[in-house]
Amino acid sequence: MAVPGAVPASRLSAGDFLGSIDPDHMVYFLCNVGDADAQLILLPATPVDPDEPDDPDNPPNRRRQAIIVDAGKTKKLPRLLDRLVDEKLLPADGPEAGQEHPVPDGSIPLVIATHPHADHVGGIPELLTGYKHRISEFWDSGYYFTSAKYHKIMNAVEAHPHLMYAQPTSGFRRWIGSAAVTVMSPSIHLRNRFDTYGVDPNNASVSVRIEFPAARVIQRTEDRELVDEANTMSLLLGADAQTLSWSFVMTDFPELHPSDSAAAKAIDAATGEDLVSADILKVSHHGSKHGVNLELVERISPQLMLVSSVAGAGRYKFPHTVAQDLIREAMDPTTTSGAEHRKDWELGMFYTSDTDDAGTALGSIALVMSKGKWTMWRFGDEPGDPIDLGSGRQWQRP
Amino acid sequence: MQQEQRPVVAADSFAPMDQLWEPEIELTDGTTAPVNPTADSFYVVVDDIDAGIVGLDPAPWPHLDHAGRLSFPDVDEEWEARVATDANLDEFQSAVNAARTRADQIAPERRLRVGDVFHVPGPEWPDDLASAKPIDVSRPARRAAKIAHYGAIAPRVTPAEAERLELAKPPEPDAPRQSFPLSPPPQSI
Repeated sequence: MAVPGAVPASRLSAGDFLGSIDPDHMVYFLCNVGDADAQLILLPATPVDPDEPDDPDNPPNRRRQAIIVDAGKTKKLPRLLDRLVDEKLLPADGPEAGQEHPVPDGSIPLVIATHPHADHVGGIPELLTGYKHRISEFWDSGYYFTSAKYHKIMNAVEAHPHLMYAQPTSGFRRWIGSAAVTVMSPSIHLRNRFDTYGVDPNNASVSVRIEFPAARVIQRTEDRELVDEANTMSLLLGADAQTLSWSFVMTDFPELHPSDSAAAKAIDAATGEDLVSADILKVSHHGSKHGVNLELVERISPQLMLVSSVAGAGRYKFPHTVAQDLIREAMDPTTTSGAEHRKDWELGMFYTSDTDDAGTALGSIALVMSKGKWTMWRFGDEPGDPIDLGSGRQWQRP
Repeated sequence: MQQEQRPVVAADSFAPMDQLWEPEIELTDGTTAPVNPTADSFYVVVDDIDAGIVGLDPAPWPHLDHAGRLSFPDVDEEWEARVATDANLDEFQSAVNAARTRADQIAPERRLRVGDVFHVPGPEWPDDLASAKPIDVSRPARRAAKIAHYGAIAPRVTPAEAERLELAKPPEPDAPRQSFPLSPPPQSI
């Protein structure tokens, strides 16, 4: 275990987080919930009715949606949702709120319970019950588990007749608003082994890659045009997937090299893409030594690596030094030179348990993303605190 | 309008009944024995195993609800503070092996797996899990989780439809039962 080094306070400046969010921005929240995961992706505002005039400055014509990936064990995520509604970043409750069996309004189109460990799904039953008028679809790994929380989740699903439910495996894709969600794991190979009890629940994790904006078609009156790879950003949310699961990801999602042969050019084929690469990596399993490996991080080649952990105070003493070191080596190879690695913050590795060099907790992380760029904000909350969106400090990149 | 994904279930069917979940364990001679939990018992799940530590996820022993689901009481921080969430892997393995051997359970020395479940007698969380004689109820607990899973997500079959389609198993003759020597005496709840 190694407690992360302090982040220089001089690179954090108070600012107007809420005021910095434009309707076209996507915002990713990694909540500080200790050795646990709770994540919310606030999608850009999109037109409610495509037939109505699209006026970005007229909010009734546009609305945002939120994807939730795990809910930790505390009430932090529901409080964040409520705050986003208060700030009109999510729509207010509709007429279905309070109904016993509401038809969801789709403002939360997807909730993912990555795997059934308590630190990831502890808050899911409350979420499914308290926001059933918003949640359209629920994914889990399909790993039926014996815990009390798992029974509560299944009871909440059973009580919600309009909730769509799926157990996705690698390669499954869902388009939501201007984002595309690709399931990276579990591989169907692993899923088929769940019933043997020979798969660790961590390796049952549903990890996803979210692209924003995804490839889309511009529809004109008598013409259409494909727009892809234009300032696209990608988030890879690793859940608690471990080496076994990542080994299948590495083969299920190959690195496709471009071909400049005449034949390939003739059919506009083999243009090349690494299907595992991502701009932002939510490091799997709280920085566990079993969570990532060198080749994986090298292939992902992220700009930012975010770790959700309590900095050595928890049961398993996450993050593990060996995992931190391999990430550092992947991002800043020094094995042959013998030089010391640059500091984590210089490499783009941040932890929910970060403190600044004045000893102040930095807490939850938010990334405001648009057009291939991101800005990072920290909110200073401890794991049991709500996120105060008015107290954001913006990270100034080196 | 979005189509219903599953049948509408009456909310009151989720209310717990005054009946505890009472699993039975399998013994080496092919018979079964009741566990006889009480309302003070603990339902202890192996949540994780790593670095010589067993991560435990204890809960109050479940009741059954009006549709036969396991219904776990909500707990507060005070309750959570009463229970331990860690155990030494070797010590816990030894304790459950000894308890399974004394109870004549099948596979008494099988190694612990994530998802295993143990009945631990209450009312207080034991200082020493080994002396608490944890009873391995993993098999019926896994079965209950599987039923919860399919009960929530899969279409229902009515008893009449099951009979018409010959889906239902014929009733099995009552298996012989034994008293389980390590279980506490039944108590009213």
